[in-house]
Amino acid sequence: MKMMITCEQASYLIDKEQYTELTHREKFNLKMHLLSCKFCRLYKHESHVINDKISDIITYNNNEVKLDEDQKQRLIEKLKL
Amino acid sequence: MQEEEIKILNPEKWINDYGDFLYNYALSRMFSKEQAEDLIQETFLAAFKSIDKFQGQSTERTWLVSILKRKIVDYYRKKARSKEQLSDADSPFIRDKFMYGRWKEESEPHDWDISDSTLSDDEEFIEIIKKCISALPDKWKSVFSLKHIEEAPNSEICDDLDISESNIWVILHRSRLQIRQCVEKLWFNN
Repeated sequence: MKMMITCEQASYLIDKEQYTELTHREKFNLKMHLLSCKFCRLYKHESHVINDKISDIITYNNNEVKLDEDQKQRLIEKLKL
Repeated sequence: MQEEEIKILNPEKWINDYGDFLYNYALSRMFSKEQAEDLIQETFLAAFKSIDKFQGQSTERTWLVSILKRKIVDYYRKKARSKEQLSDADSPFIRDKFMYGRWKEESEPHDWDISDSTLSDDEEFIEIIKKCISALPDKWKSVFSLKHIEEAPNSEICDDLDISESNIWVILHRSRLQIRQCVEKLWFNN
C-alpha cells in the first residue's frame, strides 16, 4: 500500500504529463492509481478536454471579434497625441 | 511597397487595417478585453516610435504582431514576479492524515457526461474557460499563460522569473485544478 500514490499526486502527474514525458516509475504509479480511482480518471479526461480548448484559443485567431467604434476612437485619439 | 510606407504614417488607416487582427491576437492570449485593448494601444505607440526601424523586410502586420507578442510576454513576466505565496487553504485535497491527498468531497470531479464534439463547437464553453483563466491569481495566470503562449521549456521560464522548476509544475498544476473546477461550476450550474 505504501507504493500507492494519492489523488493529489496522481492529478499532479496527469497535468505534468501534458507538458512533458513522465519517468517510468511515474507512469506506472499513475496507471495503478487510475485503475482504482474514478475521480482521477474523470480528472484526466476533463483536464485533457480543457487543455485542447486552450490550445485552440491561443493558436486560432478567429476574426469574428471586432473593435467597436468607441475602442477605435480611443486608440486613434491616443495615437494622435 | 511605396503605398505601404504612406499607410504606415496614418494612424487611422492603421487601426482600420490591423486593429481587429491585433485585437483578436491579444484577446486570445490576454483573456480580458480591457487588457487586450491596453496592449494594442501600447503596440501601436511603440510601433509609431520605432517606425524608422521598420525595414519592410516583413509585412507591416507581421511587424506589428511581433511587437504585440513582446508586449504580451513582458506583461506576464512582470506579473509573474509578484510575491504571491501558494496557499494550501484552497487546496481541493484533504489534509487530514488518514485521508491525506484524497479529493475533498466538494472538489471531486463529476462526470461531465457530454461528448467532446459537442463541447468543441461551443462558444459558451470557450468563454467560460477564458473567464476561469482570468480568475486565476496573477502569478499563476502569468506562469500558465507564458507556458502556453511561448511553449517555452521550464528551464527558460525558471531563469526568467526566478522560480524553481518544481515550483513551476506546482503552479501549473494548481492553475489547472482551479480552472477545471471553475469550468465545471460555471458550465453545469446554469
